[in-house]
This record gives sequence, C-alpha cells and structure tokens, in this order.
Amino acid sequence: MTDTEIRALILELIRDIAPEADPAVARDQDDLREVFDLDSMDFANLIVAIHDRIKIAIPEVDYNKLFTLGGATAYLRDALSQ
Amino acid sequence: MPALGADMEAGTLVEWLVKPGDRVKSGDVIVVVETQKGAIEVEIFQDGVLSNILVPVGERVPVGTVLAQIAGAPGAAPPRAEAVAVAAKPAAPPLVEAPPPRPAVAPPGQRIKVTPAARRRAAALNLGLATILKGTGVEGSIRLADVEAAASGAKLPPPPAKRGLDLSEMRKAIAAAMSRSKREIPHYYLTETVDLQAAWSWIERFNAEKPPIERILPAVLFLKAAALALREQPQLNGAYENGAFAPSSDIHIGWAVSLRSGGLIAPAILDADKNIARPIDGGHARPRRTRQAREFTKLGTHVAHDHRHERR
Repeated sequence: MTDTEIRALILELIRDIAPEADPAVARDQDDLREVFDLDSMDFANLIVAIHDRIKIAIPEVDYNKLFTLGGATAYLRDALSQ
Repeated sequence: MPALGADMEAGTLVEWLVKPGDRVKSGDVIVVVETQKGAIEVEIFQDGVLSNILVPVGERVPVGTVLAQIAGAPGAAPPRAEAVAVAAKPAAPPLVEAPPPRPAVAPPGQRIKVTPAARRRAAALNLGLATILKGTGVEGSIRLADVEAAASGAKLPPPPAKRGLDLSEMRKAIAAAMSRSKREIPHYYLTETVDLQAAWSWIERFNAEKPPIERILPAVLFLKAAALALREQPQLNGAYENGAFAPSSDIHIGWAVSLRSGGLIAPAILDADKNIARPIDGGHARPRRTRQAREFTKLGTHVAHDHRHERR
C-alpha cells in the first residue's frame, strides 16, 4: 500500500467510528483523538478495525505512535513492509 | 405505559407490533414507545389475546396509562376483557382510568371486518380501524365510504412521533433529572487515592498477549472493582423506592457513556461482579442504534463513571 492509500484507509476506518468526522480537516501532525473527538474506547476500536482490515496487530505499547495521522501512516507503512 | 427510566413521566406511542385479535405471550415485544431517551421496545408480561388497543400511534400519554386490553387465555376467558397496564410496574398505579370499551368496537378476539380498500385507505390516513364506530357493509363490515366518513368527521391523530434519538430532548431530560437530583438529594463527596501501579502492570501484561479485540481498557478494572466493593457494601447497591431503601441482591452497574454529538446514556452492565465483559465488543461500543432493547435501559443498582475515560 502507498502512503496515500494507508492514509485514506485510516480516515475511512475513523469515519466508521465517528460518522460525522470530516476527513478533509485532518492534517498529518494533528492528534487524531482531538480532531475527530475520539475517546479511549474509540481509539481502541480503531486499532481493532486496523487489525481486521490489514491484519496488523498493533501492540498496546505502540498506540502512542499512532496518535497523529502522519505517525499512524508511517507506522503502518513500516509494519506492512516487514 | 411502563416507566422506562426513573425520570420518565410520559411516552409517545410510535408503533403497535400487534393488532386486536393477535395472541400474545409474556415476553413478546408488542409496542414501541418514544421516550426522551429514544425509541424503546416494550414487552408484555402476560399471555392472552389482545382485544383492544386504547392508545393510538402518535399519542403521548403519562406513565401508568393503560395502553391495551388483553383477554385471558382461552378456556378461562373472562366475560369482560381485563384491563392491564402493559409491562407497567406494579408500584405505579394507573394515572388514567382505562376508558370503557366502546360499544361498537369488535368484541375481544374477533377481527374487525373490513374491505381491503378500506383497510388500505385507513392505513394511508393513519386511522385506526377501531376508531371507526360503525361499518355499513355486509354484517357491519367497514367499507371505504365508512373510512372516508370517519376521516372527515374524526379528528385525525397527530403525525407519528419523530423516530429515533432526539438529542435535544435527551439533553432536556438529563438537565431535568440532574437539577432534581441536586435539589432533592443531599450530596457529599469522598476522595481516596489508590496506587494503581499493580493494576496497570496487570493490564499491560494481559493485553500484551491478546489480539486487539480481546484487550481491555483500564475502565474495566474500575468497574470490576466497584462491583466487588458493592458485594461488601450492599447498602450502596439498590434504590430508594417509596421512601425506603430497597437493597438489590444483584449488582448491575449503570455505566455512563457519552454519546457522540452530545447526550448521555447509562446502560446497566448486568451482574457486573460476575461477568464483566470484554470492553471492546458491541455491547460497550458507543451505541448508534436508536431503537433500544428494553434491557438496555434497565436501571442500574449503582452508577459508576470514569472521568478519565472521557475525551480530553
């Protein structure tokens, strides 16, 4: 997957959790939890959705690397290439 | 009209799922009621044959109102249909007397005779067939002309209530309940600092070996801890009813969940001391369904909330 595809996938999965979210507002450096009003349950659901979709089980200790859109994109790119 | 929440005073009929003549048994969902907390399915706790619907769709009635009448089981059929407040709590006496059955309404168990065209027209007009007093067709059956006559003469029922969750109504209900709580109940506040290092370490170890779907959030530990504490402090588990504390033998923890776009619900986690469930399954995800099973609105015997769990 390209970075663009990964980014689009993350935003798609967030829309499933936060239907009112507007993906256009997200910048790479923003904290997803703030921009999309995600609480800890929502974020856990996002991790589950990523696992379901692309079979990457993100360890809990790595959650903080996915708090931003840019960070999440980079993390999943690296994980997919391994 | 059952009380589907401690603060519920009235409800609006949204949909009847049964019609006169239908056999019902305890546990059947027979009607959908709109409350400030959304549309809720209401069960009946009695067996029999629905003989008469007393509250039409669209009407808002106070808690305790008789919604329908059912006749007893066959063989034991009483001469008169027995009025029952569907699923109403025994403690809540009907606020409104059941109106006497209208004389021209079909007797219990007997179908109203109606032509297909009349039935369609009545449905289109949102007109209950029971409200048409007199049919002029064969054997008193209701014809299209009877429906038209009834429609022009009768006051049409209000349009069906808005379905689903009305968040502004919910905010009003919450505000009313919170104001009352603050006004009428003496408040006191206790704080205690607990070292959670051991709990945190346990969760880290537990989650490290689990796929994402099976991981638990720290809030689950608070819930479990609260449930176990309630076993030791039963005087905090129950409700005040009719001026006295009624302890509960079960521990159902109402868990405050903030809804996306505002609003709040507190679904009860049943028997929380025995079966704390995984946190990331459907039952705990933020609900988006607007039609809730009645179980979902069951009152907790204790309420817990994790402020840390809220968005920052």
